[in-house]
Amino acid sequence: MTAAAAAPLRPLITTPSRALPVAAVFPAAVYVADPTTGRVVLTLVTRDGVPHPNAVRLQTATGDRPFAGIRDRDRIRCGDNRVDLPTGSVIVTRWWSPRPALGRLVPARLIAAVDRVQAEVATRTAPLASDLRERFADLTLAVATGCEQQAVAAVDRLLGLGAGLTPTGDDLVAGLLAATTTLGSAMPPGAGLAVPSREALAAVADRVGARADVATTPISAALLRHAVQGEVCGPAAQVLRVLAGSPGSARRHPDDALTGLLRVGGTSGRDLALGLCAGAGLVAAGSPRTAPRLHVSSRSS
Amino acid sequence: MVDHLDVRRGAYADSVSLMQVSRRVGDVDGVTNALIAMATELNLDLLAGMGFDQVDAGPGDMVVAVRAGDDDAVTAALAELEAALAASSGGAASAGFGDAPPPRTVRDAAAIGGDLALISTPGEHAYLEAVDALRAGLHVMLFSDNVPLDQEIALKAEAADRGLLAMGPDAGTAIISGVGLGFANVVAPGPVGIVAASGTGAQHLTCLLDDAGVGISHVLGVGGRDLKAEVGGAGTRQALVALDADPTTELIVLLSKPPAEAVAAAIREFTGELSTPVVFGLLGPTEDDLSGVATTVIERIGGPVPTWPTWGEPPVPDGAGPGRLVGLFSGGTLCSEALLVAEAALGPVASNISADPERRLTDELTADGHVLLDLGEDEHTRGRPHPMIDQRLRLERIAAEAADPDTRVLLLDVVLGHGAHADPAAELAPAIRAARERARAEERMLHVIVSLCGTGSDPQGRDRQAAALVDAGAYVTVSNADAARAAVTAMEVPA
Amino acid sequence: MTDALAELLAGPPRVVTAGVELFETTLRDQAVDIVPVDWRPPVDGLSSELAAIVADPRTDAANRTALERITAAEPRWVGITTARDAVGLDTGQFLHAGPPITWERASGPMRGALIAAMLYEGMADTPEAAERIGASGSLELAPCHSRGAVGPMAGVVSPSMPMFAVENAAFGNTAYCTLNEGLGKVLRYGAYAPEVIERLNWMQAVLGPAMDAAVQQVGSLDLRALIIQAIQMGDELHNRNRAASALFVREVVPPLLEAGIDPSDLADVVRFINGNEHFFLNLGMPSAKAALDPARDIPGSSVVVAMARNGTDFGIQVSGTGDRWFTAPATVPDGLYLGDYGADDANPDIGDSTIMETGGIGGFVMAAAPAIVRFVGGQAADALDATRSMYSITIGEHPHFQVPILEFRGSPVGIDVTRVARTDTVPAVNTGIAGKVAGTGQVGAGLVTPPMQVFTDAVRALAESAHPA
Repeated sequence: MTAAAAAPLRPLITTPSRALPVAAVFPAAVYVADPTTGRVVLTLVTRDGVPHPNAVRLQTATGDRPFAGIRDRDRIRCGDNRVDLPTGSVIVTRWWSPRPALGRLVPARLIAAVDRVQAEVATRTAPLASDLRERFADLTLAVATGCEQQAVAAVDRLLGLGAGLTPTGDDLVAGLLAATTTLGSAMPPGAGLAVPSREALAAVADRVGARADVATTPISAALLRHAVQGEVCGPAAQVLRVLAGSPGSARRHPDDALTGLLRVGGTSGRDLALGLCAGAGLVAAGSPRTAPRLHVSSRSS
Repeated sequence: MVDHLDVRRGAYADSVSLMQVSRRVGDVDGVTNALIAMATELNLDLLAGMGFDQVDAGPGDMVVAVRAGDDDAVTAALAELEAALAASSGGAASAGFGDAPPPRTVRDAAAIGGDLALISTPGEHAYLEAVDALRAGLHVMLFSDNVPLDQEIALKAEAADRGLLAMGPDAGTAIISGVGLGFANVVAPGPVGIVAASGTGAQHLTCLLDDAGVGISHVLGVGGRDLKAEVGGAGTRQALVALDADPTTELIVLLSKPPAEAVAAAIREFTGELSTPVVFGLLGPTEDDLSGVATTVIERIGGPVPTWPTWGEPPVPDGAGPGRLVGLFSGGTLCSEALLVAEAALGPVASNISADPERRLTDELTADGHVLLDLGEDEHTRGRPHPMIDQRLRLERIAAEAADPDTRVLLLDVVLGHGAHADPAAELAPAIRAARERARAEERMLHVIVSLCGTGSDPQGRDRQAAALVDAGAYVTVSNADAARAAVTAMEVPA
Repeated sequence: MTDALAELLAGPPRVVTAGVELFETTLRDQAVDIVPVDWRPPVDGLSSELAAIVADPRTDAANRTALERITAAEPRWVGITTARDAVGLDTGQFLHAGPPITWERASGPMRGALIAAMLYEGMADTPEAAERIGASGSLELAPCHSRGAVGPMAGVVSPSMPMFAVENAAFGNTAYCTLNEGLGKVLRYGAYAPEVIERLNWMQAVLGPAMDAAVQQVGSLDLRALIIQAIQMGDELHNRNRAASALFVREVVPPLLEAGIDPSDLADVVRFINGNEHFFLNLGMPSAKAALDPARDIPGSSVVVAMARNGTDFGIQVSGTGDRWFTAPATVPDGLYLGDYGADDANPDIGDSTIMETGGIGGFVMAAAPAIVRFVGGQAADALDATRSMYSITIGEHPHFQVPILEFRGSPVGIDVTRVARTDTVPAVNTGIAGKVAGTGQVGAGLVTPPMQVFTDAVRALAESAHPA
């Protein structure tokens, strides 16, 4: 079997092989942990599974059961450019980047794009539960106003909140962090988030780094750490590119990118999308808005 | 003759089914005529015309008329009739709808989907498929060689008109967002984009950069003729425009043999208008070699320049007196780079890719003195597999050269990556070992130096390949220029 | 900077591959989506000729124009006129199916039909006398296609015959075809017995005027709408016209009743039309002809505007090469035979009815009429394959003629001779089979394989006149 692997996995996969414990097994994904920290470090996904930012994406489809015979707490060998499964070795033949290349942003277009995507999410999905909505609004407001302490408190109340492998609270936070990181660095010089907001975000990122292991599932904690680095699953990267108006992001209809993201997990796709929109909104709002300068023609004088 | 005639009242089958049934019954041995049909006026006339008795039947009835040599044949025919009637009502043999037939041209494949067409048909047919791709809105990578020059010019003009990229003809290597097309190595994503008129040159550069931890955004191969005056760099311009707009690409490298002067000037002017900086890797006598280009790129990106990996012990001059340097390459640019290094140190070297017609070898590819051969050259590969895929020719040549008592140094390249031989060292190592053992038996020295073009992520396993080659007695380097320099050093005759 | 360039570099590409299988494999190994082409070299090593045509700056646009014109057609039945008026025939002049033919080279059914036409026109009293006239070389023969007409099987048209006039409302051109005589012993299969001539006389005296009176009641009849419905009802409109003929009866009987026709004639007329499930073929053919004629003579176009057979030769005409016929010997269709007829009794392929396939119907919509494929002992899946493989030799899809089982995909239309040569795929043609002895009539039905040579000859001719890129 062959696979395309996320570039952050290079240190793990190109070095000599070692045995790693399996944290969880699903038909479309196997989560592999670090033996000492217990953190999820690598996800094997099928061709039709979700390409997480730590994924080794197999060429094999779920229907062909590439993960047959793997059980929780089994050990599988990773390294020397391959991952050994009971059904055969997976050779890594390609590297891909989970951090989307966005190009230089045009702030005014970002605002319009956020409005469009947000409206689309609202019409196509169920709204957030009220407690989640309020807590996430608290976080967004705290970052926007640069209130570090309130931001940290808000993120504490979100981490691990909700059901499933990646609780809704985590996905919202992950989306917000990934969007502020990637879009923030794509803003033209002088534009983008104000310093207090940036500091609040840094505090939130630190807090996520410190608390994720205890506050939520190992799978979600790993994805949160990637989000801090601006690394997201493939469908979320596509939505970021649409938000940024990146070259070629209109490859298919812009809504297709969102459709792809909304297919992820139960509500994960929606939650990530809302997080991305909130983060993008912060970046867009933080950019200085000055009145257009009047150019006075000198020709007539 | 026996006639059998019966009427099956109210039995119905459509006329087409009954024609098939009639044919099956008529084919039974001993049967001379058979008509199984609904008793329409037309069919009753046919029956009469065949000389059967009149029957009393209407259009809702089925008539069975069989004429055979004897009663046994009639019995067999009636049995066949029942079987045929049963079979005519569908049943187990029906094949179902299945898939649509596979597309037969690029146009039809493009209708299914695609962003780019990778075309590797024989050169004389490639133009048709490439035009199909462009007219369907697909970019093209034309691996095929021997495509007429006027077709290359036409293709690139049409691509530019349509805002598409036409890579090639004779584009051996490309990488798009990590996807290797043609011959390509497994590299990490990163900031460097490459426009290459040389396939193996691009492979070597990407491998060196990967070793230094510098990732690749894309490699766009344009084909060896793109920067000739007739084509005028049409593919190069389009590739530069694409990389300039690509948000991932922070630095562009333009890799080519020294182009025509006017084209070079025009391209330099063109790159001046881009917002992304461009490093030129023009692989000529007065220019940096590929390892030098890699160093420049790594410095521009701000990374530490590594020492290029080597395996085994470098050969030292053995003082054995003058001898021959023999280079057997599968990569054209690797060969020409080695040729530049060797000629600078050793004087004239015969080669099939020599710019000097005096020294250029044709046909036999043999020479008494130093010789460096590109065994993957177009002329040489027509009708034969490329030595990157099939090494038989090279293995034979290694044995032949080792038999020459004057051969002092054997310089080889090994190219890894997508498309290349799955385990080249497994074949080369025994050949190298045999060559060295023969020389040892004849009490002379034979150094073998291998330039290993690959990354740590290539499917062949670079370390494993290197270990096997070293075990056979070779000195292995990742830098091709270093390999050539090591060969030259080994040739030195002590004063 | 174009969007297309940015899109290429925006993510891993989906790759169409053609040629060396190694590169398919390496892409599959990288978990890349690929669409492999089942590529093979063009027939007859025609690459340079094909390249010259493809490089001709006119070709692409010319072919698109041809497709637009063919699919924009609005064929309407507007009346009945005599051949004398419709196509300007004088006594002693005859039209016939297929490319040009002489009496000497004419096959049995073609000669038989000409004999029947001479008897019908009163040029001879006996078949023997007619045959002598034919053999004397004094007949003036011309292809139906040269006069804006088409004829099924022998396709012989003589001056007194009534003809359907079908107008293409989108372009104003008109195509003509004789009226269908029914099955059995009929002129179009080369029969010339007294009952054949008697029927022709009745058609001239009664059927023709009645039909004209009917259509004048309604002004005109939309044939495209009828064809669209018939395809959805299981007809491919070449070998199966059941639905179309039934729909036609439904349309034509009310105006017939209102047209004040003598009641005894009326009954005969209705019985005659209703008793012939191929009655519509002679309206379908001029519909296709009327649709294709506006696509003629477009410089640089490689689209076929006529395929036709005269029982001796199979011929095609191509838009970019004007009236020139490219011909090769016609073959005997592969099919099932009526009664105890067999392949030995069959005449080589004959008739203009391949105009249906040329217009994207007939064998090209076989998937809509799976019953047809059983003429050659195939299965329903073969019918699907027949239609699906035609997309590889056509310019586009017909917006109106849709195939339900293919999710209402438009039928493949606009045969491109360059695609035929590149894919080594000839048009799928359904046909009736005529007996080779004059007067025998229909002996079977089946599928015919057009000779590749006519397409490769057309490619060579187009290449000779191609403009450089």
